[in-house]
Amino acid sequence: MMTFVLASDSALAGHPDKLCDRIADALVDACLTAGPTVVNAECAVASGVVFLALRHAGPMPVDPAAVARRVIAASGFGDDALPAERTTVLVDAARDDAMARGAGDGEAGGMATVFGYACNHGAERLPAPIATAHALARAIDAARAAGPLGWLSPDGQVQAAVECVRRRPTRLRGVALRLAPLPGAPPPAEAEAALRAAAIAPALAPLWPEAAEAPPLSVAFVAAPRGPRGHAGLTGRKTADDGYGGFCRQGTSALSGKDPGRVERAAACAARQAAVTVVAAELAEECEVQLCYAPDSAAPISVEVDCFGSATVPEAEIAERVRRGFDFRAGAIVERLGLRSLPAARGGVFYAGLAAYGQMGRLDLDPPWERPDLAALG
Amino acid sequence: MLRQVSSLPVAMLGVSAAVSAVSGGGADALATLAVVAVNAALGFATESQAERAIRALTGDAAQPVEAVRDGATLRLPAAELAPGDLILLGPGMQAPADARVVAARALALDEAALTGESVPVAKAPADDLAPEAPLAERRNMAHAGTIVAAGEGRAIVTATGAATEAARVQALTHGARRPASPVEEELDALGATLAKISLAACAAVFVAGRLRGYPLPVILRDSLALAVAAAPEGLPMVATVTLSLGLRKMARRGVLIRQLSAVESLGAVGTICLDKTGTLTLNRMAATAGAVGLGEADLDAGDAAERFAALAACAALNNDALGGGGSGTETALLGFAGRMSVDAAALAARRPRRATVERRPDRPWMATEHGGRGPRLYAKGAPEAVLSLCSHWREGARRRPLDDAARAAILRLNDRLAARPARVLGFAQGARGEAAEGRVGGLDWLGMLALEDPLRPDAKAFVSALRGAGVEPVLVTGDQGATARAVAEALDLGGGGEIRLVDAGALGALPPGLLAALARDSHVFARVSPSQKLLVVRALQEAGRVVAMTGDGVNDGPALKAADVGVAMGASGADLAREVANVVIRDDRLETLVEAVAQGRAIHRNIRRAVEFLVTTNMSEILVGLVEAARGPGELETPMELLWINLATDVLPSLGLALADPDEDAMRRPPRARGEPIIPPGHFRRVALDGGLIAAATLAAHFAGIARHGPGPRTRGMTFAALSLGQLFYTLVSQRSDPRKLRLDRLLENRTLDGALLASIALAAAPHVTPGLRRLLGIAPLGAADAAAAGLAALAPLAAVLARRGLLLSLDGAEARPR
Repeated sequence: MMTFVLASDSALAGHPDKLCDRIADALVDACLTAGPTVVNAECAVASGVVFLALRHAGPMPVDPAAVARRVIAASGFGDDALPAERTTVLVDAARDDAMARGAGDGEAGGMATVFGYACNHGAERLPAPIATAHALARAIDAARAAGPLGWLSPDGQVQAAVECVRRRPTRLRGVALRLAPLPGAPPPAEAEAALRAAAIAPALAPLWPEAAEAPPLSVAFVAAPRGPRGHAGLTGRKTADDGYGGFCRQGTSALSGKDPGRVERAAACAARQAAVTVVAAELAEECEVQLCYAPDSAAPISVEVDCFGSATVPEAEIAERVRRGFDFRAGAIVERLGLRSLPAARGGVFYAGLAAYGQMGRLDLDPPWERPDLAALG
Repeated sequence: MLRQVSSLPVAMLGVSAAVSAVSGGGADALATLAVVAVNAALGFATESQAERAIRALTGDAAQPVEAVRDGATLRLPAAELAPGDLILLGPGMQAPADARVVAARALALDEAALTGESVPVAKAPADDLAPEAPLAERRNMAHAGTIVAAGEGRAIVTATGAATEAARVQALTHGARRPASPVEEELDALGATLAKISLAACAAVFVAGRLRGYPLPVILRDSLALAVAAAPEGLPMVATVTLSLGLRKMARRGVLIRQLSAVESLGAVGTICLDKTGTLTLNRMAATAGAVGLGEADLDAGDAAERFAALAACAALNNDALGGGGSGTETALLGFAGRMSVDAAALAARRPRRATVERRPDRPWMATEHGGRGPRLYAKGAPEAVLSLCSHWREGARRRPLDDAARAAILRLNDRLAARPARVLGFAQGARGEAAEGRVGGLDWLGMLALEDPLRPDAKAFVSALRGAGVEPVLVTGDQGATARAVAEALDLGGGGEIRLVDAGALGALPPGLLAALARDSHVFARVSPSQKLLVVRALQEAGRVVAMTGDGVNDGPALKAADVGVAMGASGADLAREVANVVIRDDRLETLVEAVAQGRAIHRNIRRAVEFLVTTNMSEILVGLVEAARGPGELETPMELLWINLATDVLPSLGLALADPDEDAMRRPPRARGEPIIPPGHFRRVALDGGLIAAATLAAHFAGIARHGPGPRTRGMTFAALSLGQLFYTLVSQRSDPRKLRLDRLLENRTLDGALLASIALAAAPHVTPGLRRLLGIAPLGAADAAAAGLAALAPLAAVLARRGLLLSLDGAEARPR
């Protein structure tokens, strides 16, 4: 395992799975802002119909269908491809007041294993493959919205393969795009040139200066319609994209749509913060923090740290300092990071912003878990 | 009368009489004809009385029509309209005559009744139509019987009554007769099937007799006696009479049935689509909360009139209720303006309306342009839609641009107000611009009003009664999702479980089948436009439900008509709904609607019991006849005996069965399935078994008679007594179509049936004690031992059924209602 290539995926913001993630997280935002109400939202979209399955404690303070429509209206598909007003929304809402007890006050409820990871491949402390994929997806979306790539459907996929030696990125091995040009798009050769100029080169320049001009690129232009009319979407299907792109171990639980008091989501943020802190303190080049929760205890029954041999001090000491420095009880995490008051503090939208381009390493949104807590490590 | 005589069973009796006359049985022939005549006369009298009742009770309660004649506006009954009258058409109204549209404002008619076209057709004046233009293309004609789905207009009557297109189409399809209700058609078919079976039995007896070489007159007499035995004389009448008695009972309880088939559908209703306004609410809409600019404001605060001044002016001017018309919403807004000390009439006089952009299904707002001093444009409508027309928000003299944060704050406020639950409207004004298509925009957001219509106090109990009866209540409303959800939660529509809500976008654009799948398990349809209500009703029907729908008739006429049961609720604005609904709840109580469903179920169940009884007993007669005929000449009963038995045991007991009250658990059980036959396949087994029981007991008496007396009048007397009384006693256990519900102590609870049985037993006993009748029937008086044997045989089937109920539980399980 001296040398390996790892490919990580990202999706454009209009990918149906990501659209569902965004709708689910928009509901979390809306409920936290208006209530605050504990909600768990699942979303599926197919055939122009949006299905919402909600479980919430207390009265539902917002109109879930209206929230979904607002997300759709802003999704960039336009009124012809996906008319928000004419979309039928099926809302299946169950009120479960017992949820309010479970959320936030530290009861794990069941077993959960959660991983957090950080490394020093770049400023966002993400592994290079997933960071590259997200950077490309974001650049394509931006160029599409700004005009130069206006002929693209908001739905598309990005893959970036990076060669690593001793877990350090050395070379961009390849970029694969799956995009859907809309009617009126330029011919493929011209389109690819525009794509390189408007999105790929600018996105790669800071990451892979030597590859930016002539990246090993493969573009598949698929026929429109894409988006929810072309294929179905579901919340929580892109968990690797939301996390670390497969560079480390990952939990099975999705993040979008879950109330941040749910242990799976809160712990994912706390584990990330702990890993970020270890790397920021230069105790290791990379760090994976594993938390395991059991029903009989609010605190994790296991806090494990793996630095993949990159630690500058003994790994056991790092693990001990993490265990001592961070309170990993769900309730404590929510309080420390202010997870449930973030949407209200940021004008009503926070978690929905994390639905595309990854939940971790989002320095653009300044999530509290990306700030190293150097004091905690002592 | 002709119908009575022309039915197949009666025809068989006629042939039987003819054969008797030819073969020398003059008395038999006369008697047969007399019985046929009596039977026909009785049937005719009963049925025509029932028909009269049905016609009287279902008669058209047509609304008067507003017409202009010689310059004066009159309210005329539809029947008094004449060609040349100018009539006014308004939403929800059924066109009273064929008329040519001369003025229209967004007028659209639902012509489904006439052309089958499911989408309302736009109507406007036109003079370029060819005379031969087909019905569906006459875009300037309002045809009688079609319903105004939207807009209003004026039209000149061109044809009335029988000269209308609707009358011509109906003449082609129905003739003048009242269309038979489904159960009547089913019974006609069942009667014909039974008649065919008995004909086949006759043919078998005839062929067997010929093969054995019996004399022809004997064979003829035997096979015709069998025909008489088998003829189910009472069958067609049972349904008609039960229905008419049921109608009368329902009318007494405030349920008006305008179409006979609705009675049965009522009993089978599996889903009730409930309109919110007027059905579940008190229809007393009023503003209860409001917001000015970005914040909520108290309507009752001292400075409310000042803070809401601009909004109240908008509510008063952008309003269609000033002329006296307008919906509950518009009226409530005028009320609000008054509360804020705005004199709407004076203001409207100062600021006359110059132009209007109408509200449409795809445009949930309305804009008006006004003269005089002040803002030129006013708009109101669904908050999100009005907000999208705005560039600024305003509170008093403060005017700020609408940024994303302000928009989000307004939308959150909207959600909160809607969840009260309330209908929320947004208001905006503009200094410039014009009220023209596509030219409204750049307005100043003023605020919102939450309009609440309190739920009826009995609405929740109504919903739980429906759920208990296996009827799914579904809320179908134009309100936004948050309002609808709050109402559904207040009513516990989900029955304690989760509430599934369909926030309708373009329901018509959904893939086929998907809407039906969605409809099957949903409790609430929100943001449904009137034309989409029709789609919801159809989707539920496609999902296999019998669908009832309540409505006020304004705009939802097509859906009311498409539903299996269209229900109009009495006093509250039901005039328009009455035109298209086939059930009217006169006292406007939700409880009465539940009662109507219970009565519908009872009527169907009573018909079922009477029919099962008739088929069972006729079957026993056929079996007895077949066995006797097979044993040789001279053993079979005479045709007169069998006729007398039918007379005594069919008509009165089946009417007694048909008059039973609803079962106590009628509303604690699921409705019958759509299309379930009057005798479910699972019940045939019991019908056959019980028919066999009666036949076996009767034959035992018959064989005892043969052993003691040989074939002849004395044996026939015993058989006659056993068969007639056996059937009558059996009636007691026919009272429960589910034999598990039989209880010894309640066999005599139905007083009507008890009376009918006493009369029938007297009829059955009369020949034994009347010498003339004895001669006519060909029986001899019974000795004490004979009478005892016959009596025992008559009680045996009753006893056997009661014993089986206790002993053969597995069999009872097999007879459970099919679901």
